[in-house]
Amino acid sequence: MEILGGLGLGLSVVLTPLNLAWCLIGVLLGTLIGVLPGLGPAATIAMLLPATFGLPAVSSLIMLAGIYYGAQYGGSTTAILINLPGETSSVVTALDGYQMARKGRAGAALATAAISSFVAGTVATALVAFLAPPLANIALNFGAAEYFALMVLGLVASVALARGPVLKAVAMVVLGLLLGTIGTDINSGEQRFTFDIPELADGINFVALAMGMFGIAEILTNLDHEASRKPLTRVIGSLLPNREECRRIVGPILRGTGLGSVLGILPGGGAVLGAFAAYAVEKKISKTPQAFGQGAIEGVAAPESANNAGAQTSFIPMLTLGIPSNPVMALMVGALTIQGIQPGPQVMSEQPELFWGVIASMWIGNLMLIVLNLPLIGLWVRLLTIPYRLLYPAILVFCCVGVLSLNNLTSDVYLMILFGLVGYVLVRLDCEPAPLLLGFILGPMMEEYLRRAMILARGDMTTFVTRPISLTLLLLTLAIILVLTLPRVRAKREEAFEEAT
Amino acid sequence: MSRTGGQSSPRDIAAGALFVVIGCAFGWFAQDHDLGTPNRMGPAFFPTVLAVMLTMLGTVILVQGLRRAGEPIGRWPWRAILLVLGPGILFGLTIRPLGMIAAVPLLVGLSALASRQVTAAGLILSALALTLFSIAVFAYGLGLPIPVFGRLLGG
Repeated sequence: MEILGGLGLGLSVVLTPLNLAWCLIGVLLGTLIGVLPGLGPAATIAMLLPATFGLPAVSSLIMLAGIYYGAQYGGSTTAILINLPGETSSVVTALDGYQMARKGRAGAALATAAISSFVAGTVATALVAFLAPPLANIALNFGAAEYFALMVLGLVASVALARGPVLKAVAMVVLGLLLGTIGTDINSGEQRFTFDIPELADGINFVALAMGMFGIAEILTNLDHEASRKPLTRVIGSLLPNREECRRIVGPILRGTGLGSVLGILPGGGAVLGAFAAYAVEKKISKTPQAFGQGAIEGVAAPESANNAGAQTSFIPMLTLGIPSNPVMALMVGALTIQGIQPGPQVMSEQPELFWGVIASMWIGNLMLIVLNLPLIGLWVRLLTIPYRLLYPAILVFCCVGVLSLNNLTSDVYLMILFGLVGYVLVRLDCEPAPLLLGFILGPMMEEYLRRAMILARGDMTTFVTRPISLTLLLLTLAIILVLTLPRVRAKREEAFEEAT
Repeated sequence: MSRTGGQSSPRDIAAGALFVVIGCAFGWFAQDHDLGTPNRMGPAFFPTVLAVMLTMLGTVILVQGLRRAGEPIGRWPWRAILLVLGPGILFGLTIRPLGMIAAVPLLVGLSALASRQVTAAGLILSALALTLFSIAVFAYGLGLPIPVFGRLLGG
């Protein structure tokens, strides 16, 4: 009953003209950047963070969330029509979606993608509503030791599920944690690593770091691969899947939703992982695996439902524990912090309108997406003709003006440019920036909990293994590390990511 | 992907070396502060532990890179790097003295040259459009405290 009451409260928050408008803006923006290749949700949300400063916390989170799941819709459109995934999570959709389009079934593929996403979005919203409150209640009993252990688990798991070499991802997490220590130490008041630069006294500006690593560095990466556009499929065909196709997509949608939801909750998860896994599962259990890659409608339904479900359930750890599981969630934590709200289990009890409003907005947003998107496909397709050479100077302007407006400090602009360079160099060296951002967000919290736990335990390091919850979390962490170092698992993991790209 | 670079992996060596240098730098500067005891950790404790970890990880990555073949780093796109990052810095330098009316077209015009497919018409039109858009939306629409006309232009 508590949940129904909560959802009711959430709906009453969302169904105000102002919040509906922000939700609509969010999902439209999300679809737009999902359609545009070379501009992802992380970069967009980083650019918009300064603009959310003046909004109420609920409205800003509703809009930012809309961008994230809206991008999953938009990404599939380009994947199907021109074999160019707008988002990483739509890479798999392109495999069979584009083949369907070539056979004149583009309309059916687009509709399947939209329906799959909607079903998954609805189920995932319910899951968030049911799972978040009990998790938050458990987390309310967490002490400093448990929080520290939980963050260790989160960081290690994010490495396990990240792309690229494991050791480099671990090093990036540690580098992020170190960058987080720059600034004034809250316990002693001493300035660490600031070199007497007054602008660094409050630490590195999170928005400058995120915009540099995701906005600026991505421009440089994209300019590397400035390639000619692929031909557009003009024939959309009938929008509705036929009866046979409808029957075939039920199973994949349900399995994709389940798999995507579970993988979305895991630290390091989110939309991308679920899509890859769901496609692999469908191919494995299919009676006609050879049809995959040739335009199998199951190959569109499964990853599309999985990426949308994952995008939504990845809110669970962020909303209940205050721990971001992927870069987009790290930016959401940043958005909350800008608003003066400390993310964590207390958000649900202290800010119920915010908590339930965001959850309810996800379902409303998904509804808006399915109603708006199918008729608007023509418009999105036309947007694809915007060349990247016109797009990136605009991104640059938004980044520069945005980061400047936050604190009105030109030093933030220079910091952003610096991190753009650093981010680009690291990507060239096969080091993904996502783990660094997670480390940077969690670093200050981790240090604080570590110090507090040690004070409470009078300097006894065994406190982490004598408290049952903390011990369980650390054992889980150890298990992940052990599994990761097994040669067979390592080979499989690399294979899985290789296959997908 | 072609596997060149003989018996070593330049990307791993460079990444490892970078991590070692950064780790050592953090470790060095952390010693300006008090390490403290486990019971009362000083400001240097957490960064020192992390710096040691980063240095060790970097060393392992570097050594592995020396022992197994990998892809080369490849050529650096200096044109794009200079023409994206340079205008960004120029924006920071010009926004106060000149304001958006000059800083935004400079940023757009110069950065557009980073693309090899740049056209004169596209450059001028996008500089014009983005400047008008920025002034209308950021200065008047959102009311951000960013000057339209800078100090030197009488703003």
